[in-house]
Amino acid sequence: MANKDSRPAILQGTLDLMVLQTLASMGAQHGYSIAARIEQASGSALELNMGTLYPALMRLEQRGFVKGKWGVTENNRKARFYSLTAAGSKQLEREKAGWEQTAGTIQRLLTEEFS
Amino acid sequence: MRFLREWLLRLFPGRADSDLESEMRFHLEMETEAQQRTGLSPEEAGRQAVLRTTTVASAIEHTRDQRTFPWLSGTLADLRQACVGLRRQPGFLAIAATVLTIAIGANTLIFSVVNGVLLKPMPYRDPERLVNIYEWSERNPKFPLSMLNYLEDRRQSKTLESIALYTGGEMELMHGDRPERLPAVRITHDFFPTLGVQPILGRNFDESELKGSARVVILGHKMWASRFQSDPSSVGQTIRLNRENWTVIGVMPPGFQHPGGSYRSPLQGETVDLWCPLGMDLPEKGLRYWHFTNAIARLKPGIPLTAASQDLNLVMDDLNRRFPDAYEKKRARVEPLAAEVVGKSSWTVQLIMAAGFLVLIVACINIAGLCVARVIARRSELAIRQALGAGRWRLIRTVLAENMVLGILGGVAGLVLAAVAIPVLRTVLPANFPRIHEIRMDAMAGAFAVVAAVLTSLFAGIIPAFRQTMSGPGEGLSSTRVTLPGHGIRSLRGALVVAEVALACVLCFGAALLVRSGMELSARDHGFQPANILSFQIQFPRKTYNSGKSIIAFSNEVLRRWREVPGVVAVGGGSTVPWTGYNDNTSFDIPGRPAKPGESIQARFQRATPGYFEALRWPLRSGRLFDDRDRDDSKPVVVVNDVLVRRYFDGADPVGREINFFGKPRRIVGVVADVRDLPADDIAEPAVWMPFAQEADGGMSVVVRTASDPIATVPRLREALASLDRELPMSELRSLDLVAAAALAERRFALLALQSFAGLGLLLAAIGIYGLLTYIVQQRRKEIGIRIALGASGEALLWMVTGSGLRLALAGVVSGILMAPLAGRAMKAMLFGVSAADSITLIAAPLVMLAAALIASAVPGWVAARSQPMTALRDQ
Repeated sequence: MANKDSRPAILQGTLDLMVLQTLASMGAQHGYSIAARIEQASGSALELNMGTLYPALMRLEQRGFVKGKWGVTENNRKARFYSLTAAGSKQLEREKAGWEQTAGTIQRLLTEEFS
Repeated sequence: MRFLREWLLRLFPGRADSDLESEMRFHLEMETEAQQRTGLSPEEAGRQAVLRTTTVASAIEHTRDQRTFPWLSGTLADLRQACVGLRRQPGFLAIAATVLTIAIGANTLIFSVVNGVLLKPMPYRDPERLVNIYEWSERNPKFPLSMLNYLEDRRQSKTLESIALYTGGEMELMHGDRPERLPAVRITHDFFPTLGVQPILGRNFDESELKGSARVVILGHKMWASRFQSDPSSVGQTIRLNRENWTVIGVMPPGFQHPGGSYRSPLQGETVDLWCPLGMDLPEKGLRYWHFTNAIARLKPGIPLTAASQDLNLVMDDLNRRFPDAYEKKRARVEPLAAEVVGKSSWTVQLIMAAGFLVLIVACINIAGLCVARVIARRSELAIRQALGAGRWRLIRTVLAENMVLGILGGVAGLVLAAVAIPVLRTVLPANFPRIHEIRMDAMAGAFAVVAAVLTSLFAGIIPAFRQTMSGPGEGLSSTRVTLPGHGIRSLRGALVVAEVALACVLCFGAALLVRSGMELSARDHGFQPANILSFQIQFPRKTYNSGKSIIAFSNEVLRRWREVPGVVAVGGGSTVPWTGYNDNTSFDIPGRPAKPGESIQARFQRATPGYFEALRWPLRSGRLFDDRDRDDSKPVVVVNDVLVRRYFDGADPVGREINFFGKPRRIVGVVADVRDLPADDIAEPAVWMPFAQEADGGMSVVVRTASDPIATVPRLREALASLDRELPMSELRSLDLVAAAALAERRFALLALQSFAGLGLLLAAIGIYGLLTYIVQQRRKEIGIRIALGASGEALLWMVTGSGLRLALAGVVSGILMAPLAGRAMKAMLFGVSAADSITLIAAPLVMLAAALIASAVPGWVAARSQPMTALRDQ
């Protein structure tokens, strides 16, 4: 997980959440646009290389949360599009809730420490 | 391992690498274009893109790791490592794999028997609905059905779909110019429909053809193929059977198996060549009184045996009301066909199954002992793994992976061993063993071998695996330099050895009981002497020998000629040869001695010529045997046996008294000794012999006592017969020793099987003791070296080691003795003349076990005694 630059490391498990959320909000996307979207949303703080992104996509696909399908981009190029499955939507809800709880806990911890 | 992995990947397909690659190539292209849009040159853009997203090759590598299931790759890694580890321990691998192979081989062999004989459904449509039906009475619990009973069952029963009669015999086929006797079965028209088959060619019999005069025949497929070259035009042709013309009306399908029967029937299997109609045109009394047919029936769907039995007993009640003379005190008896076919042999099968299972347990314990040692050897490795954070389950998996590999190896090797042994087994099994043709290596037996081997091996590994992983890493790491294993480990291995010895002791006990039974049996007074006797059958075709007179004239003449053959001491003919299970009964009455309430006065009825008893050396108890005075025009006489005198004459000498037997008053002229139907039967049944000359029959079993080898006289006997009738064949030619051997063959087989298993158990237990002691001596090298250096004598060391082995063996033997009577009781049906807790056996079997234990523990003791103190001390 160590990153060469001083960019923040991706917290284990959060990448799945990010991918699922991206697909939920933007519909079916190919790998590059998922990476581009996450990078954009993080204000270029997160750069996903393929060695991180594709294992995550395969993991999600094996667990049945996303489904990959070859299709054609608007520029008429072949690309593999990922979409959220029903199980994926449920998983997203669960992970979101989990994340909010974690984030809330950490938030409280941090604020208490400073107050 | 790589191969296994690839194979598993194919089983659980992920995405192909090429697919992933094109997806990533697209990703890289998009990134390159994005970089170009920021104004970089195409080359620089490509370089930046790779920097930002890594190369396709490296990304594929990462992604591929994600593809397999994590547990799978973990297990695969464990297995791979186990293979490496086992290869480094060839001694452990060789012993454990050999033990497992032998145990699995033996058990797979047994499984193929159990599967073929007991588990495989009979080869008929809905075989579970097929039953045999008998008439039950106190004296004859399985009496053949009378024809009237069959007709009434067919008419009245509400639970039977159909019912059929059949009875076996032989027919003489003249094909070309050589006569031969072929197994034939006479059947009613509903026989094939009841079994759910029909001829593949031609037609079945018609009800109108159930007459003694019908000359139509259906051919068995094998016989049709071998004698008629599978010629379809055989149907409609005329063939010569019993010197008459018969019309072939059909051919049975290939593989059709005769269902067998307890009464004059060929064995279950493809054993019948000719099927002909059963003549139902008996005299009216014959329909009720004659019992010579097996009955097979098909229950309606969903009818349980009890309901069928109730239903048929209603029919029996009705018969009882109408014909009390024939059916009084009789009940209907319904037995499933499958159980009838296997009969008493299921005892044998279950016995060898139990013995085989014990051997498997002993083998499992043996391997467990080896695994304990193996785990201890890996102690420091496991401790390091644990220290590095491997969880308990992960450790157990690591340990069990070796057992998994061992199990697969043992399973495959055991399967091969069984496959090789099955043809041998078929030759060892008695020829009349039920369903022998179904015993073969098939997918079920193969699956059994591998699954049983893997389970056995995993079981063997589980105790040591748990035991070792229970402790923290500290123990394993700190004790790496300590040569003495923990007390707990030694006592665990000791306990395993005790258990092994106990089970082996039980096996020895079982085998010894059978040996004792065999000894009792051969020491028994059989009532006649089977050595140097030839026996064979002749049948007199009705066409040539159409009257009792012509049969008697012919048989007198041929017996006279045979008597003159050099080397022949005595010759006689009778209805049967002893020990073939003949059991034809008839009821009779004794003037002045009415039947007691509930008693039916019955006896086996047989015929004999002069010379018959003499040839068999069948002792005469009182009166005389038959001689030439007993002719068809002289006073009808009979000879009876001892048990008849005891049962019906209260033991008083009956010579001179008359009985009403076979429709005539006949005078008892002699009493002979008892001979049982089969050699291991508990008791002999009452029997009555009539002179052949007074009650001729269509066939005769001939017994010839010779001065030396009985088989050597066969050509001369055959010549003598041919000089009178060239066409008459001698069938079932064999020495009486062979008849006796056949009657005892199953018992002999059970003994052989149990002896082998006991030997195997003994060997495994000995290996267990030897292995443990060798291990301890090895571990205590240093201590032993010090002892020797300090002046301990070799003798003392020998006793120290050997004694510890014997102590374990003694503990095992004592537990074995406690379990032995239980085993004895379980095999009660196979015992003869010994009790289930026979005291001689209870002493002998443990002694054998202790002797084996002594040898197994003396060898390591001897090694310890001879060890050089300096080598032992320097070794560390």
